[in-house]
Amino acid sequence: MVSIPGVAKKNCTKAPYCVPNEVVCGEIGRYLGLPVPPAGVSYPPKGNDLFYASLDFNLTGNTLPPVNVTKCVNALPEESTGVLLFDILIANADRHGRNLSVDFLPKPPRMNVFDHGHALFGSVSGQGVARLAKLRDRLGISAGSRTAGNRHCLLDQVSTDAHFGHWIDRIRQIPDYAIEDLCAELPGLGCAEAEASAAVDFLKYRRVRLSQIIEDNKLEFTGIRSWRLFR
Amino acid sequence: MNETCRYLVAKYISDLHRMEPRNVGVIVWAAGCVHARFLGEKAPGEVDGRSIPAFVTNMGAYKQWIDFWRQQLSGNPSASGKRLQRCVDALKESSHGNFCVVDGGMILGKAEGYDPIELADSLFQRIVEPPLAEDASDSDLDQVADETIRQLRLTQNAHFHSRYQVACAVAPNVTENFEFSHAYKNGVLKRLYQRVPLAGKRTPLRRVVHDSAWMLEKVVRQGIVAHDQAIALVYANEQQRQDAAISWSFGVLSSVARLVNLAHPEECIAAFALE
Repeated sequence: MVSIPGVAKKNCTKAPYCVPNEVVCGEIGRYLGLPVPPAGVSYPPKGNDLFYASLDFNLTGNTLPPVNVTKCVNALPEESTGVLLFDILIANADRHGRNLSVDFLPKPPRMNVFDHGHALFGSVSGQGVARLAKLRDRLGISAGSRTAGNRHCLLDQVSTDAHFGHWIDRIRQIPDYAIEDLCAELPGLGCAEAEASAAVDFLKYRRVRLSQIIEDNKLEFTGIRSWRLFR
Repeated sequence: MNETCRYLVAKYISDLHRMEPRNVGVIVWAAGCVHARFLGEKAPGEVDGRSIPAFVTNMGAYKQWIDFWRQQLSGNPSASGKRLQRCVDALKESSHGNFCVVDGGMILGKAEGYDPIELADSLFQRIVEPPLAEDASDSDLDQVADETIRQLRLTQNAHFHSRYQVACAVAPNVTENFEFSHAYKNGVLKRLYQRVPLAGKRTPLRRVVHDSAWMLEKVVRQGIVAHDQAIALVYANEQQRQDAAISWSFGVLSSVARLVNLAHPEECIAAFALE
């Protein structure tokens, strides 16, 4: 018998959309090629709770320390940009040094991205649709007055837009069916039909508008002195 | 304002299911300075992989945590007051999974009176460093006992045993396996010897004496050997005999067994002579 450690989360008062957020965002992240650990929804044999169960995301078998974000961007500039743009897509206002881990010892270093329970629908029960409407054209990661949450840990660290085009293209190429099929699973995982539909609309819209959203918020990327994409 | 010294203890948990933390470092604030020591470091921040303790299951993660803790400290080299509290809180909040930092405590007295390096070293030795191998030996005792056994050719005697195991009931439904230094068994067990090192350097004398007295008392009480065939072997010259602790040891041991002081040659020969 082989046992594999995992991490399981469920919807709770502080994260009422935890499971639907994780299901959609995790799958999109993996689709884009980001190192989001494999996961799925788990149904215990007894009880009504369902869990989002992810393989243990420890890269080393032991927990890594909170990531040094400066070192992370220097060592993994392309992946760091990918995480930043992915989080804009899903309006993840909860990216910090503890839900991004990097093992700096191997060459090249290895990254893991996890914990999207507060993205997309947010963390206020019944306010999922309202959040999606409110953040539709906003950056969604800057901890501004509307977005709230915490400022994205890489937003001030990424110092070049050299890899932006690569990720903007990838995100734009996420097919409709992928978004629709993913969100079709959501009713029953802790959100309503209307919320699932709003998520489809939100993701499709931002997928193609990402470049414009970034351009509109260029000043938030404080580490980038000169832009190649938006002159 | 009088600042007190405070310290945090860094811990490592190799198995999160068993949840058995081991101390791996100390971080000490005193006299406006911070000083830290972690297991496996040759110098601050320089981790020697060969010195990382075996209970750490992942060297890479361990190195990266030490690097992280040191980085956190380097941003606050002389913190005090609220700034110190923020630094302490940040370190504690960074605790995650296999690695954590917890409050160690405060040292009473004015912080100015302490050297943070000395204090960190002292705390490190006391609560982090694994104890050195127990040095329970007493070279005089061992030398005389070994020499006597050799002279009497006891090692060639099939009835003379060393490191002899005895199962002994110590309470209803409780049996202990004792290991005695020597035994004489000719068909039936006739005599048990226990070397009691009164000059051991690291183990407290009280513990050494009590451990031996416990074994001797139990085997006598259970009738495994008679009182005068349960022999506590010690070595103490006349000068040592004047020491109160040694005198106390003699009293305790002779209350439960026959005490033989190998500093007296005639006693020594008599103790090992077999019928």
